[in-house]
Amino acid sequence: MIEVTDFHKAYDRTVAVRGLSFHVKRGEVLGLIGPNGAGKTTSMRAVSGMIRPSRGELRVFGCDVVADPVAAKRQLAYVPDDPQLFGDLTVDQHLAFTASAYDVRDADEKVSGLLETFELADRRTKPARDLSRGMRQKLAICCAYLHDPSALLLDEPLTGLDPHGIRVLKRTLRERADEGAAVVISSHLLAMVEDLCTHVLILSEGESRFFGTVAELKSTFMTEDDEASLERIFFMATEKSRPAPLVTVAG
Amino acid sequence: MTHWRLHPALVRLLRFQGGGKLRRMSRGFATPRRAVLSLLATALALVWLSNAILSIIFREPYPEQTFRNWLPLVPLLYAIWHAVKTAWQRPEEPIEWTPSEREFAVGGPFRRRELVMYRVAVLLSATFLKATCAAMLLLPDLHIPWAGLLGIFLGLAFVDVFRLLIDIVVAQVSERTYTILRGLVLTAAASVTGAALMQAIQHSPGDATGAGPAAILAWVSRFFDGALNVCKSPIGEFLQTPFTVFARLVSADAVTASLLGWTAASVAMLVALIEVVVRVDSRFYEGLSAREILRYDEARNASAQSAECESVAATLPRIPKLGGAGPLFWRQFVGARENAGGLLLALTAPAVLSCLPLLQRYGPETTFAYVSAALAFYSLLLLPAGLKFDFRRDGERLGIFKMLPVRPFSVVAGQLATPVAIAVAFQALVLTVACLVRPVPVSYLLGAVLFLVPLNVLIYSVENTIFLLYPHRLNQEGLEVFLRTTLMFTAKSLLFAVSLVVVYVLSQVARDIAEWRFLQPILAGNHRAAFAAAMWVTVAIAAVVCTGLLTRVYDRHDPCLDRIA
Repeated sequence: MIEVTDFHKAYDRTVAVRGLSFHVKRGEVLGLIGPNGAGKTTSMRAVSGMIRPSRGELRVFGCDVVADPVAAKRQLAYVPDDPQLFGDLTVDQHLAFTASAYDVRDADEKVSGLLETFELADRRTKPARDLSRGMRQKLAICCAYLHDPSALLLDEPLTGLDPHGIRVLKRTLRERADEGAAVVISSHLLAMVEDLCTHVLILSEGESRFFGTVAELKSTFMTEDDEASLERIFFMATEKSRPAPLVTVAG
Repeated sequence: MTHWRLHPALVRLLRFQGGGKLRRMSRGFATPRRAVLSLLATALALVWLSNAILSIIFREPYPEQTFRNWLPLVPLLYAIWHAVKTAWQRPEEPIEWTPSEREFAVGGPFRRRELVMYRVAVLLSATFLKATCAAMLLLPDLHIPWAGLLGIFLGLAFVDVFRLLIDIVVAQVSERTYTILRGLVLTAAASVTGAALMQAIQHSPGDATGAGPAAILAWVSRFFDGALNVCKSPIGEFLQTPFTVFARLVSADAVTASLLGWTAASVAMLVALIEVVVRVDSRFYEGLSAREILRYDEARNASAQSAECESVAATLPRIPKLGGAGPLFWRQFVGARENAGGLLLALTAPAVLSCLPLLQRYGPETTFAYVSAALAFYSLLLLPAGLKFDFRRDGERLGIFKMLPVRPFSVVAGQLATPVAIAVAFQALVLTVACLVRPVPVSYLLGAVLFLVPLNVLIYSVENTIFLLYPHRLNQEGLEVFLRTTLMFTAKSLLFAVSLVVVYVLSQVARDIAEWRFLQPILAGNHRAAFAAAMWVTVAIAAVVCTGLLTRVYDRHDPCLDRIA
């Protein structure tokens, strides 16, 4: 389970996230939504152990990300919104490094399977600098999947992917969640969040506006006149002039 | 002792990166134009290298005592230079990671000490290359070449790891402590330089009127002798102590038990320093949480204050369009302003070198001529490396420029304007100082500045034309930099040789030009004025031609085909 309790983060003179708490259990897919600068990427980076929280506790399957980062990182994978690959390393070398870093057994077999699934098999010897944006995204996802992480964090994972890539990513994410992974996806594509996620966390100005299941979200914001779409709810929850009450439904 | 293990995955990463660099270099031969330039650079590098090797083989060894005196001093100066640099600009992080390292290594399941060891390994592999070059240059002075190479490598590695330690410590201390340290380091550095300068002045002969370059070289030599004397002070001796161990290894003349002892001592010192780095970094890492809380509280207070001041209306800066060149110039200028500290540091060397003639006892006019010539020379050789606020900074953004509704010439003008403006301002300042120290008529100063405008346009047009023909990243390392530098240095040397020929030809025909009837009312037979005017016109024509060439090269540049290698 991913557990975030009273997480705060500040950069220089800006408070990016204040008092964020949520949890994602095995098999759950949490959609992290919010306007630009809401603190989505900061939260993901903190859970992944790439940045240190200013305050609060972050745990990945019982391991404290700050106190025992190596144990926490072994169980998770993070795909950033703009994957920064080693330009000089080939597709194969990225995967070989990842396999070595996470002690992946049967790496050759897994790598072949992943490259086939994400249509990268014919690019194995290409250096990353020669890959298109979408292919780099696919390679980053392959690296993330390689060690079968128990927690998956994906920041805007559909960026640059072709329709086939999008379909494969959605399918594999569902499969991994069904196999017991806790998944967090940050996205502005609300239809995808509605389609894929079991839970939703709405962030605005570094604070949580709503955390609960998709059904709970709809029932909280649904009016008597019509059934609220996720897009409408999003604007209701994040509107600056009329901020929504802070709601936490999920137990 | 810390567990000294480099994670196998990080060893693999190092190996992959080494192979990847070689692969990238082979891309230099991917297109015919790149292949031609790469072959040219390789051939020139071979010529320069053979020349250097031959001159090393046939040169006389340095006097034994001088060599032994300088050996511990050079790494000490290197370490001091880094301390001054860190005092000038505080590093943002204790260890700087590339974006991909941050994602794959720092984000991976590695212990902090494994990451520090990875950084040390990267550092040592670069140090080995530097040590090999240094050992080759010092070959005639090394009695036992392998001991020399080992000593140089261990000595340089010690300094490089020490630099890492400085960065880690500086990143740990509070703002107040950093300010105090900064003051101390900068004051100490200024005092040592001042003392060396005073000694050089005291020891300069009273009737120094010798030939220009020879006299300047003698003066520089006196300055270094002065620095050597300062380093012989008790504090200097103390600071040199660790480096004398490596120096003993480098200057060893027989394989004896003591040589083995010095080797063991050198290795032990390096190992101990690496251990200190790992421990200090670990302490830094543990203290991060406490510092994060402090930073968070400061940020919360600051954001509360800024919320109170939100009513202040923001106004956009007014940028003149100038056919599209204005916004491009403004953008580069803002970049230069943001990097003012580094820029000032980059301008220091050419300023000091250009002002050296002021220390000689020439007449005012001769001094001014020497300063102007030195300024032009160093502006060609050193300044462009420090003033990269043009196409060279935008290698990855050339596609964006192509999309702008701006004519190619305006793009070129906008991109060149900032380095040219800064260079002219800098040169005008140096010349003004020269005029104040050795007064000459103001017309000399104005004439020189007028001449420097087209000269700078010419210099930066050539730099940018070569860049667009052969684009590269600014932070390249290793052999690629060597080949590129060789190519650029040769091109600049040729340009300088051509300009000397032009100067000679114009000096020969200046008297005839001054006598031309239609110029009589303006020049009145003054052949100096004729020479200056002819020079200006020639340089201006060359600048216009080169700018035109740059515009054409930019216009034909394809951001997809001519991608950075």
